[in-house]
Amino acid sequence: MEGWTGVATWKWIANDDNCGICRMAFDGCCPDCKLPGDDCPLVWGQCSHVFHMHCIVKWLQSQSTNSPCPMCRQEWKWKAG
Amino acid sequence: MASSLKPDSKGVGSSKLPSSSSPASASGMSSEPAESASGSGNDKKKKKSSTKTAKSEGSEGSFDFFDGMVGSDGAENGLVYLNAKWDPDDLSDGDMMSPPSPACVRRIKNDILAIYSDPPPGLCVMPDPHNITKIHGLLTGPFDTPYEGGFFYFLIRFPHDYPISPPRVRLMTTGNGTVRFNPNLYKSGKVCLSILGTWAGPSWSPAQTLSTVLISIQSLMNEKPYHNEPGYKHERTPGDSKNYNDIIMHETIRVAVCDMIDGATRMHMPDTLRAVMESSFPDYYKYYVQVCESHLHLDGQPMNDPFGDSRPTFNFRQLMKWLKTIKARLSDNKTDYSDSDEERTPGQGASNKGCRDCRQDDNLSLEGGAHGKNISGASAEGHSSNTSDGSEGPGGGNSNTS
Ligand SMILES: [Zn+2]
Ligand SMILES: [Zn+2]
Ligand SMILES: [Zn+2]
Repeated sequence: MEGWTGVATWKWIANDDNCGICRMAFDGCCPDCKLPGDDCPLVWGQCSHVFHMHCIVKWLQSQSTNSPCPMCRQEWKWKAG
Repeated sequence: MASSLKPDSKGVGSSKLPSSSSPASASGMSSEPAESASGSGNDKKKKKSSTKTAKSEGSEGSFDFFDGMVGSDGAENGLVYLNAKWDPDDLSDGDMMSPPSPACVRRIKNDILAIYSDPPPGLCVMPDPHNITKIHGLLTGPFDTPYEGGFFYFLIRFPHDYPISPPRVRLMTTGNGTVRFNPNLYKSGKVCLSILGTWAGPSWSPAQTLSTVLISIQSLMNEKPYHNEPGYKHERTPGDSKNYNDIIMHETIRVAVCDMIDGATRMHMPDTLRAVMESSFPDYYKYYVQVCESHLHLDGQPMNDPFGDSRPTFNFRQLMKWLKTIKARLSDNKTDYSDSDEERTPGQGASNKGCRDCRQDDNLSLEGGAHGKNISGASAEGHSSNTSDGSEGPGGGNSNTS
């Protein structure tokens, strides 16, 4: 998983600081978790969009056929960390 | 005095307007989000060949629904194809009955606060005091459309797994199930919008919010709603579009203004939203009367609905009487809500943005983690990315079409 340095880079590029699914800030964890940090990792797609892993997994699991990125609708592909 | 819903695009009475800083005029509102988030006319046509990508639970096999949809009453039945559950009052399934997760509740609150902190013009929401998953929404018809000055009341319910699944939306302003206000707004209250799963086109994405849903609905109420109907990009008979607009203008004043104000109680509309309508009415009064006066020549003619819907006869003269009665009643008994709604502060609304009057539910304060910047980020993203080029909006996007 990518860590916090990655977040800083991404912030600089995309100028945003919250998860597009749960809308919580990336310097906290997703609403299902209690503590920020490794327990609630961030993950990137090849489209460069980033989400809480717990949030994007929930979304992908709900999709039966295609799995679009919530932000850009391109097919979600994990970016190798 | 409640804050008014009147959108700020004409610079009239701006002290009462919800979002005086927003450059988005009603007409801007109606075109931009449509491109990315909603299935507006052109969009839908384009999607015709790609219906198979539309989410349609349990309806495999039959994708030739479009043929059955052209035409009006038939259309309502024809849409069973997109079996998406849409009715917020339908509690027959687990999606609605299971209690919402804390994550879901948090997201709903975040959505509501985003609207409070940066209210889109002509849009007002009010959470149900007894149920956080239920939202009452009021949209005013955008300027320079046949819906101008109308009050459109929506009931919205969030499923327990929101935002993984979309909210369910019902238009309550239907004249008791008799008036179809738009090719996409059925008299049953069903709202046909691709992001809600009730129309072909870009489907739901968890990046959508309450705000983007309501703005998409608002964008259905555009200058020429006739063309929202698939297959009606060009007029079938010259004058059809103008004729349809005349019908919608009449029905807007009859059903979305007069009947809404008189029937708010019948519809169990929250007092705060009713107060918003009543305080906006005087601002629009002149406009209503102008519309009636300039259409008097139609009185007595039947409304020939281009989609074959049965409609009453034009009677603008009677509408003028009704408007006058309401005006007299409202100025007579400057309705006092203090008994039913003790937290409202009279006289405060005028200078407030948007729907601050609705903001009485302190359940809404977010526990811990979410901050103002988070909240406004949610809303700003919904708008700015829509307006920039429509290609990168949350769930907006272009790539699912072919
Ligand atoms: Zn998240
Ligand atoms: Zn988490
Ligand atoms: Zn993406």
